[in-house]
Amino acid sequence: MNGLDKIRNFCIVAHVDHGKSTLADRFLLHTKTIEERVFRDQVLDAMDLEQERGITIKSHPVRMQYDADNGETYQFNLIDTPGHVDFSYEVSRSLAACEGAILLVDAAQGVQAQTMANVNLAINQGLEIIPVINKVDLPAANVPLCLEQFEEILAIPAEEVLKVSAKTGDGVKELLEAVIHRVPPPKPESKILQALVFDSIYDVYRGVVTYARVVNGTIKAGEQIRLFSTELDTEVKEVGFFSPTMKPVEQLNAGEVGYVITAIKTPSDINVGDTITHAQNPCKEALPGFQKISPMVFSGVYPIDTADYEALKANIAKLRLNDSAFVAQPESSVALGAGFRCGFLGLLHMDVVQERLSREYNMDLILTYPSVIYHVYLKNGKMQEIDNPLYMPDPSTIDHIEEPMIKAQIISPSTYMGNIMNLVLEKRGICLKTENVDKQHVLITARMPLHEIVIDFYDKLKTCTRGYGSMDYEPDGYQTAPTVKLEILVNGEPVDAFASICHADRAVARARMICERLKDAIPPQMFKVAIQGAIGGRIIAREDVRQLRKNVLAKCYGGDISRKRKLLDKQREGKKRMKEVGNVNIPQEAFVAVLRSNEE
Amino acid sequence: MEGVQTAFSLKRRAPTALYVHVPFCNGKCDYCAFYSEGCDWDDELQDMYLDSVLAEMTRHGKSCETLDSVFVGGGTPTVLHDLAFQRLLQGIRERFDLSPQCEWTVECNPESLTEAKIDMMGEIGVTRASLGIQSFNQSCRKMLGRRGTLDGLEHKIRVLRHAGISHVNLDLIWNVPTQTLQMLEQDLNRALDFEPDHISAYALTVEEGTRLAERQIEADDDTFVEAWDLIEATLATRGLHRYEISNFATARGRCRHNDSIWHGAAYLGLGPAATSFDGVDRWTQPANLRQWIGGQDPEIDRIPPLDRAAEILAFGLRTVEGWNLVEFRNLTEVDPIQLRGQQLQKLQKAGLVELDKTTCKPTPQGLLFNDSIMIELI
Ligand SMILES: Nc1nc2c(ncn2[C@@H]2O[C@H](COP(=O)(O)OP(=O)(O)OP(=O)(O)O)[C@@H](O)[C@H]2O)c(=O)[nH]1
Ligand SMILES: C[S@@+](CC[C@H](N)C(=O)[O-])C[C@H]1O[C@@H](n2cnc3c(N)ncnc32)[C@H](O)[C@@H]1O
Ligand code: SF4
Ligand SMILES: [Mg+2]
Repeated sequence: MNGLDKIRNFCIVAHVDHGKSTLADRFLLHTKTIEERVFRDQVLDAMDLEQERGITIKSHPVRMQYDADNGETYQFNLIDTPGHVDFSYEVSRSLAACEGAILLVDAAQGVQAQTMANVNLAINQGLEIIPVINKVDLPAANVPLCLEQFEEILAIPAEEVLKVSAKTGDGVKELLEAVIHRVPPPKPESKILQALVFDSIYDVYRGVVTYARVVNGTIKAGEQIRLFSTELDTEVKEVGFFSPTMKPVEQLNAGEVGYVITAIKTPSDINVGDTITHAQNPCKEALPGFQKISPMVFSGVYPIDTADYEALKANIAKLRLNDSAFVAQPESSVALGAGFRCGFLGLLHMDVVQERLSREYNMDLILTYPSVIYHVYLKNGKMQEIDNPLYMPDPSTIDHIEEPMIKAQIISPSTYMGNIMNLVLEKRGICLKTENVDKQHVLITARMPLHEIVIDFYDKLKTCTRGYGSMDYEPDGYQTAPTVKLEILVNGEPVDAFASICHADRAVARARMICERLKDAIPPQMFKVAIQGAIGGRIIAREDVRQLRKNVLAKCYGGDISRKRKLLDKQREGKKRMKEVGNVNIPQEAFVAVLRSNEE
Repeated sequence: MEGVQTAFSLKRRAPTALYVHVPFCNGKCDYCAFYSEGCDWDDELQDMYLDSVLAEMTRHGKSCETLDSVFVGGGTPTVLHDLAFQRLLQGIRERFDLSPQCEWTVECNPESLTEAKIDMMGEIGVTRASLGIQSFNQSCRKMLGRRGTLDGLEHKIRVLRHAGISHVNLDLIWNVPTQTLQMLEQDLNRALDFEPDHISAYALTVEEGTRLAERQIEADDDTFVEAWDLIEATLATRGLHRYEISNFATARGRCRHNDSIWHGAAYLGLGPAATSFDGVDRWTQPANLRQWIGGQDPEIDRIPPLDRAAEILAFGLRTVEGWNLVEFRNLTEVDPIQLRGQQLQKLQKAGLVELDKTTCKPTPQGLLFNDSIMIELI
């Protein structure tokens, strides 16, 4: 057991790919928390998907014993965090469990949008920041420029900045020492138990595992505890820490970070951000919790093969155990059958969820056009929140519609400033402010509709800055916008799966694109079949399905008919995978083709 | 309906038609997927084939009714050496009971059709010769990889008629890549000049496993319908009318053999790759000469009786006349409306099938969309 002054709680924050997980690796090896023998790169990224994509999706706490130069042994509770904007809520929770944060900046990339965002989060939580330039081994490393950026845009003096290479291990020892000297030890203020729940996961074998930072008091197995917000009492089954696997201990003390397993079986019974206290002698007040995170992007998720519905349902339920930000409700579509309306934090989140869902049961999914939450003001004075085109009220009853806005921070080499300004305009945004990051980089603050971000802004930004631009954003209220429900009709019948909510000025282009894609994807038909885009019954785009002029086998004698029948059987099998709309069989590929995300 | 399903059965019938497959050719044409040995044969192998096919005839001859039609096809029957050719025709004559009006067709490739063979055919009683022309146009023939020449064709046809073989069919292939409508019209007129009473005009099908497929040739369907109409109109000027998707004839020139097969007749097929049908099951001999000689079992196509009845119904709709409802009921003991009423009505509404109290037949559009009819019915 370490005394309070021998405990340091800190996390590593940075922009995507600046080397957080790799630095954590170095720490784990240096402190012999993990043996060389069982080590692999980014060892804390335990999920398959994290390993494959080389990104961190969930925060990972880990405890290390560090033998310092002064001869003392310290308990380090480190939390590795994700860098991507979609997962920034993970970062803010992790910060709440720490007194300090290592801020990494890639020496070749410099300060990026999420660097700024994370610094702001850390400062707001009153954390001690250890600024670090990583990847100094890279040939493209530009340490002086990074130092200039630290001073200019982050207001961090150059003298405070450490230089390391998480790859070679250079400077890592110094960094570990700096943690002792710069990060303050925890300072409990009372003996009454207060532990902050900063995450929880569902383990198939152990049930609900709660990640907690003990702020005051102690907690041990066998005790009756209370979840402050719900006043739910339960028994502690086990407490422990990650190192990096679960290691049970007798008790967790004030200032320590670890896990708590209780008798609670249902993940939703534990709210992240809640305070754990004792059932006897409870605390009077809760610790400051977290802002409730809510999904910003919605899409219908359907199995391509309707027979996969049950598997999808089971998978969604399982995924939700470990991802409270992901919401799902059953929904059904005439065209696609039974599925789910799902909510995500952003596009990467949506992508990750889709992949995890399809991976486990090896099923193909169709996702409908993503929507944000619109505020639809009716003529009768009422307001409805709409995130699904199916529920869009009749246009004649609508007074006006407001769409969610975001405030974006974009960092890029100054040369691309013109491109970015044009892009922001094209995406219906306005530039609020431009600042210098250093002599060569600018920080642009812009206000834009969230919907544009969800569609393709990020890809376009990467393209127009040759990959150098980075962006972070946060919600920024609502704004009136001419918004319409675009319907697609096949042979006069609307196909619900193709309906979408979009900006009025974009509707014609989008309608044309869908009609063209459908025209290519629907096989030739015997009769003239129109594909139309319509807003409130007004046709704004039209294509005709290619017409089949014949369908005949020239030669068919005795034995040919057996062959022919087998061929037709196969065709019929294929037809089962088609959806009939307005007497036209639409193959699954057509849905995939139309709903694939890129707009070109 | 389920009750009908279990109670219903079709009657097995004795064959009234005979097909004999001759599996030899002088090289393979690029489009052809029919089973035949292109060059891997000699007189000895032909003799072995004959021994086997004659033995088969002996075995099955008795179980046949009096035959209304015989069709000797291939492959290329005329590449058999003279004695083998003679044995084949003679064998049929001796082992089967042919009705007095029996139609007897032999498929002939012009270049191997010698006067000697014509004489044999005439003497033994062949009534009909089907000549593989494909095209008169050199560039089309080249595109098709069609072997042989058409030298002396006019003379050969004259000799055929002289030998008493009064029915002559010419096979043409159209919708050949690079073939224009004008080229097609020339082919049709050249064929008509020989005054055949029958023309088969097949749209080119690029079959899997053929050299054409290997060459990645694709049929271009841009002018398909125009060509379809052109053929019908051009042949009609000389009295040849469409009676099946790809077949045209004078009133008395129709191929009774094929017409009966499209209308559900039972037939016996002998030789490798030959198919037989007894009204209930269909079976096909191995498409391999050595395996067939070795006595390998045929592949049987067996489906529930009602499905078979539906298939017979659909098959008949390849012909312009389609079905006389009474005729269909006599054959299968089930009423077409009872069998596929809903589907037929749908097809009628779609303009593909004409349905009244006595008949069920394809519309002109229905012929062009026979596959759509098939999908609905079988
Ligand atoms: N050359 C060099 N490469 C490094 C260094 N540190 C990390 N990398 C590489 O940078 C890439 C990203 O490293 P990660 O540790 O996954 O970055 P991260 O910040 O955890 O990324 P996210 O969790 O996705 O935000 C990997 O390919 C690392 O091998 C370094 O010091 N030098
Ligand atoms: C059994 S085949 C061959 C008969 C004979 N050996 C000959 O070549 O004339 C009968 C006819 O089918 C037609 N045929 C064969 N393969 C074809 C294809 N792939 N597409 C269209 N017609 C074809 C040709 O017109 C051919 O003459
Ligand atoms: S078309 Fe006739 S000659 Fe050519 S390969 Fe086929 S069967 Fe033989
Ligand atoms: Mg990481």
